[in-house]
Amino acid sequence: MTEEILSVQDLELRFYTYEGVVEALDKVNLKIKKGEILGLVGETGCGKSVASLSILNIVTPPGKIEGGRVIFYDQGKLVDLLKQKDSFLRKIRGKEIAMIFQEPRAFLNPVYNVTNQISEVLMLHRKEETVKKALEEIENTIKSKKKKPGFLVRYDRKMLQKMLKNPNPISLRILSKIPFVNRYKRRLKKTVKKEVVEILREMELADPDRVAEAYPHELSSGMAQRVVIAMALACNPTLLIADEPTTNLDVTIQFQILTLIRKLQQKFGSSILYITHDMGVVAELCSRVAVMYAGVVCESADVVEIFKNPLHPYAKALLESIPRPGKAFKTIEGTVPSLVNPPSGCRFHDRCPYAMEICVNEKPKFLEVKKEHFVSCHLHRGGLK
Amino acid sequence: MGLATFIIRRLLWVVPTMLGVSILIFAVTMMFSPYQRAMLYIHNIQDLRGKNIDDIVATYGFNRPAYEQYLDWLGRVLRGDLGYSETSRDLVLSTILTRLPRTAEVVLPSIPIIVVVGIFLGVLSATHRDTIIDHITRVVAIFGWSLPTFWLAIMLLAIFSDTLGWFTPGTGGLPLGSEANEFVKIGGSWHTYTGMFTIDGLLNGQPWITIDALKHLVLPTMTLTIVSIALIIRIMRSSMLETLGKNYIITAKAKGLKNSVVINKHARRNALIPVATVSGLLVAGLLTGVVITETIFDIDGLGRWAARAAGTGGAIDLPGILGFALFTCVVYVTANLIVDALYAYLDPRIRLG
Amino acid sequence: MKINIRYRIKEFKRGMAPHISEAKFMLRRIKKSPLSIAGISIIIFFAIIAVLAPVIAPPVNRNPYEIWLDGYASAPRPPGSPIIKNTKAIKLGYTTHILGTTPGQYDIYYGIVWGTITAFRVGILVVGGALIIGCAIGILAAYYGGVIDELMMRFTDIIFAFPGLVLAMALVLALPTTWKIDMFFYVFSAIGFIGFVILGFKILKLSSGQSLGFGFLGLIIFMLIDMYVLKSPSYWIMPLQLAKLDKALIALTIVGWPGYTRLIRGEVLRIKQEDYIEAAKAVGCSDFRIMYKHILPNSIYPILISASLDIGAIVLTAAALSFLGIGAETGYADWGQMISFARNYVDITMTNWYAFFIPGFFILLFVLGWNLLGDAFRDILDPMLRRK
Repeated sequence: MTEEILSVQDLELRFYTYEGVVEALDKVNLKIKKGEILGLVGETGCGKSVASLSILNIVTPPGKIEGGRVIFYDQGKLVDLLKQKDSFLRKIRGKEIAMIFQEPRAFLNPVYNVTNQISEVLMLHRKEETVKKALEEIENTIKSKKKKPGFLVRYDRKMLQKMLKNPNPISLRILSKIPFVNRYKRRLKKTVKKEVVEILREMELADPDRVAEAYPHELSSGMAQRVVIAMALACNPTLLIADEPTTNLDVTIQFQILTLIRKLQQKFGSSILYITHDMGVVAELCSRVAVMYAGVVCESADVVEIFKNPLHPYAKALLESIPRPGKAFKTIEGTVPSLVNPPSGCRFHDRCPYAMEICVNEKPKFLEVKKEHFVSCHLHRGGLK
Repeated sequence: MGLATFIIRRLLWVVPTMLGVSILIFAVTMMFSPYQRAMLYIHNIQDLRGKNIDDIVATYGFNRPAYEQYLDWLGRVLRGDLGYSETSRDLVLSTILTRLPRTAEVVLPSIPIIVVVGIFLGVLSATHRDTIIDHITRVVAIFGWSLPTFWLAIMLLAIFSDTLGWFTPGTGGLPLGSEANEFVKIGGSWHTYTGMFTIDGLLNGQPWITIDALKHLVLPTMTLTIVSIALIIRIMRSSMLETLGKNYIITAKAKGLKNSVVINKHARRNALIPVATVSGLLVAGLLTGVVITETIFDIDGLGRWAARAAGTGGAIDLPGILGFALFTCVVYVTANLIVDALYAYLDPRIRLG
Repeated sequence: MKINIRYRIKEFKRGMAPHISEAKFMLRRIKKSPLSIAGISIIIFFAIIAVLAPVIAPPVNRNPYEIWLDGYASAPRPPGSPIIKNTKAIKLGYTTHILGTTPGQYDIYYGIVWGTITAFRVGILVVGGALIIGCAIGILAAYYGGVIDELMMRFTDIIFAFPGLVLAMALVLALPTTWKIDMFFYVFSAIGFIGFVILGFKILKLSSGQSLGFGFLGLIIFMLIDMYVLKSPSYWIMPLQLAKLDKALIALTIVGWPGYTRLIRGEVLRIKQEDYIEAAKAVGCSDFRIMYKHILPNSIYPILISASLDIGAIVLTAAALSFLGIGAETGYADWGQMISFARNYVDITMTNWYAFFIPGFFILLFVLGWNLLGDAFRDILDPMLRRK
């Protein structure tokens, strides 16, 4: 049976700004199973992005996580990521949970080339493997040359073996800074570069060698997005968080990237938290959907179920507003509330056609109304009967 | 395009810029009437030797059309003849070459301190924004920048020289004590290689001269550092703050990098770009403008000569000013070039031109 | 009629609403920032002194900027010393030399008070002038781009490379005390410029950028006509009295504007690419309207920050010039000038510290105030810019 790998429970996030306290997330609940693609939909400003940043605990101040738990299944154990020290979280970030973002060229450092940025991840999280690979290569060259390895080769080999045994002793740190003595690093770099090119090739990039040498501003957005995906998948993460990765791309590229994501997901078996406001993509790609409004998850269900049978008024209205040929154009009345002073009770009550008195006063609880179908609405107070 | 192509393209702009500058400088001299300029060549009645002022004007060609005079002057400059400076009683070119090392000796040691400490404090201030560290650093930096240079210099002298007696100003126009001064003036045992006493001391095999010079350079260098460091701190801080708000910093954090790596590898290099520009201009500005410091610390450098040439004494030394202005422009153009090259090295996007 | 006025007032208030909320936001941040409060307090303090100068330090000589003397002895006298020789001062109400005298017997207190006005004058005139010239050139260059931009920026670079201090010194000596401005030349050239712009725009149907360039052509043509054909007739000469300090100020302004040109050019180039500029063009806004209403308000913030910091720097430079003897003449109410006496008293012993320390301290305080303000403003305006 597929287990849950991530469970966000009652997550609360506030931004303390000069204009007041922004209640960005109000008891957000999400669950992702292994191998599942969960779509997180909502309008701009509903809190999808900050929710994903909170999972990794990299929300920038003045944002502060004020409550809730983020349970992650890490190597057989369940840990609450919000309670961990930064040194632990750093091992998770980029390795177990990776993120890709919306405008790829803005999210890549403009002064370093692609190899530099991807190898950073490899050397950070997969150092041992890489060093072993480099050693392997040395052995292969020795064997192919069939004569005794020269002094320099033996020196490199010794240094790399040292690196394997003891990842980061002071002696190595000092030596690695001295120009001539650190030549063993060059071998490592060559191995890493080959690794990077391989990864890029898997991303279906036409000329991976050229891309590896390029700088972000020299890439088209489609290529850049593939680079970002490569960087995220380089260490085989359990969970990939994709924050609107195709929103800024034109439709043909969007299709390519989506196909690629699906292919990679099947190949690596990672789960994906796919954030978007495009219901079409959701229908294409996701197996489950969670709908967010104004910092609250109002409904979450299987994708077919939610399209067929949306229970929350907002989810219903959202689906009805998707433009379809032949149908009249439907909108949701009103505007998204400012989160500095959010509406009392249910945050959707002032725009909800079914609003009752209780909706103004009490916040609805996030309950399982049908099998694997959760709603946060007073209309469905009963829960699973 | 690569780094090299970019630099060559920039180099090509140097010649027209220099020409433009020379025209401007020459225009300044044209502001003085021919009589005023003739007056410079007359020291006393004897010099007239029976001629009157119009003859002097004619001899030196001050009444010829402007462009003729300009081309004449330009030709002489390109041949290396920059004229004779009344203030230093020496050819302009040799004046500049003699005095430049002395100015450089005061300016150059301060540069690394200003840049390195400035960058460090700027990063510190930015990463601890709105905390007490930030406020203290900013106030101290602003305070230093607000000090009038001459005031600070005299205060430092009052504290360190008069009261504590640690560091004294140089004697005889050089950053050396009286003993060293004597030694250097005597020919034979002392060869002037670079003109900078710290280096020459070692080259001459007389390390005590080097130490002596260093002792006398502490106060001027301190003055320059205190006044200039605020500039770097301020620029680094604001640049760093801007960079830290960029999206690729989020990526770096999401990759699991240590905070120090995020700041030092990803943020700092991007933030250094405006700092490079400012640093270049700072060096150029210091090399061409340490008038006050040199005056107070009694160092016979370029600044002091230029100030006197420009008329502190009352009379104007036209060839001197022209020579100094040309020198300034060479320095600024060079500094701009180096800064642009540094810029292109730091930021690959610039190389596209 | 009444309805019209009420409607206009309401419209005006509505248009101002975003500005008001921005101002309120800024004020709140200012109140929270101790540095900016300190800066503002210092400047207000000096402003009060400047305004009350005739009251707290009544002028003794005919020119209020001439510090009154009390004898000619060269040794300075400490604060609290009695007034010995200047009876006029005693009649006006002065009892003692509150802050002492300089070498040469100028009253320090008087010099400090009236020096405040000088400091303000120096800072505001130079920075204001450099700002106006620099921004005008910068906006034009950046907006029209192309050849105009290249030429203007090269010109700017050349002036930028010029040694400011040296130019100031040279101008002080070169400019006559009574500068006879040939108004005919300027007016004539201006007519040429405007005429050609109108000619290009209306008759030749050139675009605004091209007619501007055409206007410059006209300017040059008319200038040459006045110089060589008409041989600069002296129809209208305006004599302008220049104090020694004014000449230095002119020099500083000339060397100062390139800084602003570069700044504003950078900002304008950035703003030019924004979508709302394209939208404005699509709606049919004239170039001038775009520059005035859209580009200028958005690009002005870094300029203002730089300007407030520059006021401090200019005051420092002017003080340095005065110290060297090239700025204000001896006896003028200028802080830097008052310190210049200290050059001969370099061995500062405890007995005559005040002659040198007090004016220097006031320079420091004045510059500090502006610097704190500028620095704090930068910090305040930054999140505002980022919010956008």
